[in-house]
Amino acid sequence: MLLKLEGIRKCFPGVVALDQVDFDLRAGEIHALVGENGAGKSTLMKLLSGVHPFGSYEGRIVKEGKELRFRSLKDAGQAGIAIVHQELALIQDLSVLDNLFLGAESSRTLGFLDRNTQRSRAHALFAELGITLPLDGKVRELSIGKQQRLEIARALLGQPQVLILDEPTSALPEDEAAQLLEWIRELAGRGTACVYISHRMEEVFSLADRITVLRDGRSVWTRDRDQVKPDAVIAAMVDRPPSDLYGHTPCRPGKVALAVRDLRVLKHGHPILQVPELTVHTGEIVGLAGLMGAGRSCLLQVLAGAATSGSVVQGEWHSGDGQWRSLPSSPAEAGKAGLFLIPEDRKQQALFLEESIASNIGWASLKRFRTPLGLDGAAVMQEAETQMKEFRVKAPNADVNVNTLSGGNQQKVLMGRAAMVAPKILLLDEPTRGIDVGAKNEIYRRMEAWTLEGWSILWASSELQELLGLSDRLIVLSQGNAVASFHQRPFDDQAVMAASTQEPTPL
Amino acid sequence: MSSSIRSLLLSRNAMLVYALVALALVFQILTLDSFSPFLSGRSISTILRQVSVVGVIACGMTLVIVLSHIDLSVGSAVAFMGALAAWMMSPPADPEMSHTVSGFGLSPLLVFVLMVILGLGLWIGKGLLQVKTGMPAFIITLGGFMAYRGLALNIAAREIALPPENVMSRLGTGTFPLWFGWSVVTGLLALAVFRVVRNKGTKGGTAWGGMVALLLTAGLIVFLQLPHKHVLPQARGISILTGIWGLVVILTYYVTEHTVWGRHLYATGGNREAAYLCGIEVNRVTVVGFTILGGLTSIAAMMELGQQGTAVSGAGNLLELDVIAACVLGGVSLRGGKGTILGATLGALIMQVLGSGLYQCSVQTGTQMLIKALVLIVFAALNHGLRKD
Repeated sequence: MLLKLEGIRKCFPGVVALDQVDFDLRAGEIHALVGENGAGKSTLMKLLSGVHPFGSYEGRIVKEGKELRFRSLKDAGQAGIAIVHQELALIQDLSVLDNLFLGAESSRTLGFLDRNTQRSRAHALFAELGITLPLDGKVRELSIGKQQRLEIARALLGQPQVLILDEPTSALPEDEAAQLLEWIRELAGRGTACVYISHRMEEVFSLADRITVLRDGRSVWTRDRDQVKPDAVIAAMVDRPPSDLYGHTPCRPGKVALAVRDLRVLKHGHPILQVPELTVHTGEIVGLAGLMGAGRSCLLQVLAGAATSGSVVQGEWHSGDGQWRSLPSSPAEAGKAGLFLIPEDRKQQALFLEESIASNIGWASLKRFRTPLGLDGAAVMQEAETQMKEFRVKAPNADVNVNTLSGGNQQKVLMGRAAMVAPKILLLDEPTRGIDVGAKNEIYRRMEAWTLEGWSILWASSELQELLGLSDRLIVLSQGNAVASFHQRPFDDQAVMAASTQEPTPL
Repeated sequence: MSSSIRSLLLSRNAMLVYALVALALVFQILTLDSFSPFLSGRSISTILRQVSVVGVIACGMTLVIVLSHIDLSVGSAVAFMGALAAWMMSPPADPEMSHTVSGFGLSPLLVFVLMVILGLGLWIGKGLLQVKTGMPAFIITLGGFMAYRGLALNIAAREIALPPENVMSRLGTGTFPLWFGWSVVTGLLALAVFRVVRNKGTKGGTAWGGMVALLLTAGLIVFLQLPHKHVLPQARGISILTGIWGLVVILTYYVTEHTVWGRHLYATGGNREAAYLCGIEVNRVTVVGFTILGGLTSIAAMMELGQQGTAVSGAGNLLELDVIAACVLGGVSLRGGKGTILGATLGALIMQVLGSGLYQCSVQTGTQMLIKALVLIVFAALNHGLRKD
C-alpha cells in the first residue's frame, strides 16, 4: 500500500465537509474517486495535497508506513504528491517554458533564471511524456487540450509518486479526451499512482483499476472496477436508483422562434464562422455538436450580441415575425429581443463571485423591478429566493456568498438567473460542464420544463451523450462551418462524430 | 434577532464607528486642559465643517472605485474650478486699482451652475475616453491631475479673493438657522419611528444598522444646536457645508442602495464581463459613475472656495489622496465591486478626526502624516484580513 488516508474528518465553519473517510492508493494504480459535487472529493484531495494543512482536519495520512503532516503544498510536493486542479492555473501571457517552471524555477545564484537548464529539462520531460508543445509560445495560443497537458506535465516535473487529477477532461472534446486518457494510462503503467476524479462514467470505467464513491462527505465503498457496473456506481453516488438520465419527450415544433441567415463572423478579415441558415422553433431544443474550436461558443455569443471584440459580424435574423434585421450588437439589445446566454465559463463570465446568491440570480433582471422611487429590492429578493428553492440550490439562505457553492450549485444559480430573465430563446453554452449527476439531472429537467412553457433552447455541450439525449435537432459545426444537421431522433452518434470531424467543403 | 444584532455589532461599519469613538475619547483626554477640548461644541462643529469637502468627493469617488477605476484629478480640479469661479465672479477691472484681477462680475448662482455643468462635462469626457479606448482611468485622470493644476496656476497666478459680501463665501462660513436643525432632527426621529412601525411583524424585522445611523445623526445635530462655550450664538447649529455634505451622503447612499443603476454599478465593478453578458449597459454605467463624481467635485470646489473666501492655485493639494484614503479606510475595495457610501463617509470622518485631534494636541505636521499613514495601513490590513474569512 503506497498511501492511506484513515478516518478523515474536516469541518468548515458550519459544515462537516468530510467525516470518517477512508481512502487508499496502491503503487501504479489508477484509482477513481467519484461522487456528486459537494460530496467532498475536492476537499479530500486538497487535504492530501497540502492545501488544507495538518491540524485543520482529524485523521491520518500515511505513506509507506509513515504519517505525513503537511504544512503546505510544498511539503506535499516533497513527499511526492502532485495535484492538477480542475481549473487551469496557467498564466496566459507567459510562455510554455515559464509556465512549466512556475514556482519551481531552476535558478543560479541571485535568483537569475537558468533558462538553458530549464529548456533541456523541458525537452527531456516532453520527450518522455510524448508531447510536443512550443516552448516559447504563449499559453494563450494553445488549445485547451494542450494547456491541460502542460498543466499535467508541470505536475510531473517533480517526478511525483502520486498524481491527483481533478476532472482533467471536463474542458476537452471527446477525441482529445480520449488521447489524454490513453496518455494517463501510460503514466500509470510507468508506476505513477493516479487519483482520478471525474463525472464521466465511461472514462472512469475505461481507466480506473478501483473506484471509491463519496457521498455527503463519507466514503460509501471502494471496489475493483471489474466487480461493479456503472449503474451501481451512480446509484451509490446519488443514493437513488438511476432513472433515465435524459427522459426527453420530443417536442412538436411550433412556429419559428429564431431564424438566422447568411451569418458570417470575420476576424482579421478571415471568416471564423459561417452559418448560411439556422432555425429554432418554439418549444424546441436544438443542440450544437462539434469539436473544441468548431465555433459553437462563437455562434452562441454572436446570437447573444456578445461577439468577441475585434470580430466583424454579418448576417440577419428575425424572431418569428419575418422582419429581418441585423444581429444584436450587445447583450442588452439581444436581451430586449428575447435572447439570453448563460456562458461557458461560470467564474469569469457569469458569476459575481463576491455577491450573494440572491444578487447573482436577480441582477440580470433588475430593470423589471424599477419603481418611481428606485428599485423594489424586496421583490427582487423574494423572486430570487423562489428561484433558489425551485432549483434546489443547496445553501442555508439566499444571502450566502455564491463563491462558497459547489460548481453544480453555482450552475443552478445561473439557471435561476435565466428563469428570472425568462427569455424567448435561451442560449446555453456547456451548462453541465464539471458538475455532478444530481445537478445535471436538475438542469435537464428544467430545460424540458422550459420548452413546455414555450421557450426555445439552443445549446452546446461537449458531452455527446447528453446532447444526443436531450436535443430535438442537432446542428454540427466543424472548423467554423455548419456541416450537417440531424432531424430525426434517435441520433446516430457515429454519424454525428463523423460529421464533426469532417473537413468542411469550401462554400 | 440576536444573531442579526451580533452581526451588526461586528460589521465593518460598526468597527469604523468604534474606531471613531475610541479616537475621539483619546483626543478628549489629551486635550482636557486646553482652551477648547476635543469634544467641545466648537471643535466638533469645526471638524464636521472641515471634513465636508473631502466627504462630498469621497461619495463620488466611492462610485468610481467600486467600478474598479480611480480618479487622481479631483484635487487639482478643486483648485482649477475654484480659481475659474473666483475669476468669473471678480468685478471687471477698475482702472484705478490695477493690482486686482480683472474678472467678469458674474453672479455666484450663475457661476455655481456653470461650474457644475463644467464638472459634469469634463467627467463625461473622461468616462467616455475610458470606455471607448479601454485606457486605465489612472492614466486619464493623471492627465487631468496635471492639466487642472496647470490651468489653476495660469488663472490664479496670484490669489483671487472673492468680493466682499459674496454669497458663496457667506454660505461657506455660515450656519443654518436653528429652526432648520430642529426640523431635521424631528424629521429623522419621525423616519425612525416610521421604519419601526412599517417593519413591525415583517420577516426581516427592523434594519438596525439604518436605525443606529439615524439616531446617531440626530444626536449629533442636537449637540450642535445646543449653546456651547466659545461658540458665538450665530455659529450655533449645522454649518451649511456640513448640511450639503449630509445631503450628498443621503442622496448617493440612496442611489447606490435603492436604484437599479446602483445595483448595476456593483455588478459592473464586481465582474464586468458577467454584467455585460447579463445585458447591463456597463459602458453607460461607467460613464454615469464618472459624471456623478464630476458633479460632486464641482460642488466641493465651490464649497472649498466659499470656505476659504479666496482662490489659490495650490488649493486642494493632495486632496485626491485624502479622498482615496477615506474610501480605502471605509472598506471600498480598489479591485472594485465592494464598498459603500456609509463606509467611505466614516472613513473620511476618521481621517479628519485624526488630523484635527493631532493638530489640537500640537503634534508636528510631519508626525501627523506618519500617524495617519500608519492608521491607514493598519485598517487596510484588517480589512483584507476580514475579507478572507
